[in-house]
Amino acid sequence: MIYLSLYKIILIILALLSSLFFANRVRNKRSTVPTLILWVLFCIVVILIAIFPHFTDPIANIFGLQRGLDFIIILGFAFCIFTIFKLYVKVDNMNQSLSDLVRELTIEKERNEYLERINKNSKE
Amino acid sequence: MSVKEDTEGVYVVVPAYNEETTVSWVIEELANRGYNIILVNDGSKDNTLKNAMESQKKYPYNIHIASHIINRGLGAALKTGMVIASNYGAKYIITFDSDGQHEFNDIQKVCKPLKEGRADVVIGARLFKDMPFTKNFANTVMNLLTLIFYHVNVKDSQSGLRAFTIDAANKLNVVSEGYGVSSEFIREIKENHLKLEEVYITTIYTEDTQHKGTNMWVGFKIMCKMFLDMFRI
Repeated sequence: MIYLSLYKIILIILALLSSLFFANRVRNKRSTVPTLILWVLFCIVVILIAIFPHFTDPIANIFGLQRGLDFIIILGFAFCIFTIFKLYVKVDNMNQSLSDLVRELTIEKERNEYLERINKNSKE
Repeated sequence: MSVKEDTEGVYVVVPAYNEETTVSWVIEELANRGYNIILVNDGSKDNTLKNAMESQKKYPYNIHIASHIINRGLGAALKTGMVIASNYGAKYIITFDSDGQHEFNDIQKVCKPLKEGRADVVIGARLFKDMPFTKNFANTVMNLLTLIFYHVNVKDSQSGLRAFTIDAANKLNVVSEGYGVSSEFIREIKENHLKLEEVYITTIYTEDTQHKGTNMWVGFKIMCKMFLDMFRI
């Protein structure tokens, strides 16, 4: 019989909830099916690791670690750092796009206002 | 030579963010001297735009106002102003702070090397010994960082008073939106092999100007940005 400690139960619930969350997003057309499949696969891996943590031991040994759980924690940290980096690049690019948009609008508006002023003054 | 002849083809780009107390005085004084002004209101939350528009009524042919609907930083404001100046057919572009820290007569000083063909870009270098200690220290560190990151040794990398020929201005490709743009100008000058000259200018430090510009925190943010820009994708 499989013994489920509290942390395992929490992990399984979190994985199921996030799968449901993404399924709902797909239903509301705010996310795509491939994204959902990717998340569901990720959640299945999380559930499997939660129930059978020793499965990761051989992989941990390859990286010179004894326990599979240590490997998972290190992997989690690496994933977080990668995500932060990706987000930084994304936010930076979006920031740049926003500035370009604001600048384009400003230049266009200034030009129109100038022409309007000139027309008004020439009529007077 | 009359003042009008001196200012022909000279466009002064004045970026402004929450400068309601000084903006009218600065742009009216510049207009009074015959300069063409591009005031870029960078999403100010105070009456900067309103005051500038009042000034524009007095000098409708000299003062041009461009207004960012949201604040995008010094770099973005300068870029907007320089593009507009270029569209108006500027021969020389001057960047001039709107907080009243620059001496108006210094514009002629920074323009002179351009008009005589000695330089493509002129930076008005402030005398650091005249600055309050914290500003002096922050600007010294910024010069050092500009030297380390961009390998250019300048007297004042963060000065707001600069002059460019139109050809030089069109070659510059700056991406920083905030105060980091000052150091980026230096990098671009080097990468485009532009002739740079530095002339000493007068700086007026008042209560208002103390709070803005390069302080320790701004310096730290610019340093982080310089570092991260190395990995820009």
